[in-house]
Amino acid sequence: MRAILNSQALLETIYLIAAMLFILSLKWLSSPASARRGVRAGEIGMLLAVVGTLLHHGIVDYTWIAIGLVFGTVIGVPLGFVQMTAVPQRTALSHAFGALCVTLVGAAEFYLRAPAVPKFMMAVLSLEIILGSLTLTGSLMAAGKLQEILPQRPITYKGQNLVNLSLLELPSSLQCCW
Amino acid sequence: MKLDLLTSLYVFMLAAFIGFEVIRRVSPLLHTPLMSLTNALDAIAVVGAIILAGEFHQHHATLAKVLGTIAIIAATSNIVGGFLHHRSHAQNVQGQRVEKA
Repeated sequence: MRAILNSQALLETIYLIAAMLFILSLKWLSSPASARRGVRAGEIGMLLAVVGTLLHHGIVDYTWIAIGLVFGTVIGVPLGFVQMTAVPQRTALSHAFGALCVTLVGAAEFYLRAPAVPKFMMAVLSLEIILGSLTLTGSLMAAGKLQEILPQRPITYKGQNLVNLSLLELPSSLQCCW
Repeated sequence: MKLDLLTSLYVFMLAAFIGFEVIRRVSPLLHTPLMSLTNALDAIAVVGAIILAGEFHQHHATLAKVLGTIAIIAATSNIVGGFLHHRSHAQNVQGQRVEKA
């Protein structure tokens, strides 16, 4: 199995099929009659992409991957069986998880390549990290409010606008200066 | 396969249009499941995380692996939770449709 998948071209083909299945999945989900087929297409696409990547010849160390997959499944299963009333906070929480993943991948990618990062990639990575962390904290706040862990009123403090503005400004200018 | 800048931008543009067009005429009944399905599909970033955690790095290896592993945990919980949740929800939606008909 591994020998067949050693070719880069096959992996690219698998990714292409997975991307196609994702588009079909979204399309089928837009009408109730085919919604189930849509979920199935999404599952198969995800499985293909993950298994294809796992068997890729560049992957040499499976310890950390296995740890990640096991812990992720342990967290994921209870999230799959929440009450219908808890769906909004569940969605917010999984939004936060997705953003966390993207942010960490961006940060690690930068860390591995620095200091020789091409300009365009630097711009993309900065955007990825800025938007990712913004989504992470924002979604966590939303989840906290929906679960009523946090107070429902807007959380404000003195000089908030100034802080927010500089928080947006600082990474953007850092990004430009790099 | 290395994509050059312009090709990547083309892919990005076409993907943006496909996403918009595919989602545009969704019935309001399906907004919530669609939201949770896109959330699960978003976890495709796990591919990048797997490569980070499993690839051979010449230097800076440990931090990249740790970050990659945390990213795998976050994304996998989304995939597993998202699709499990979705199976039940899609069933509900289909049940409602049958009742109406």
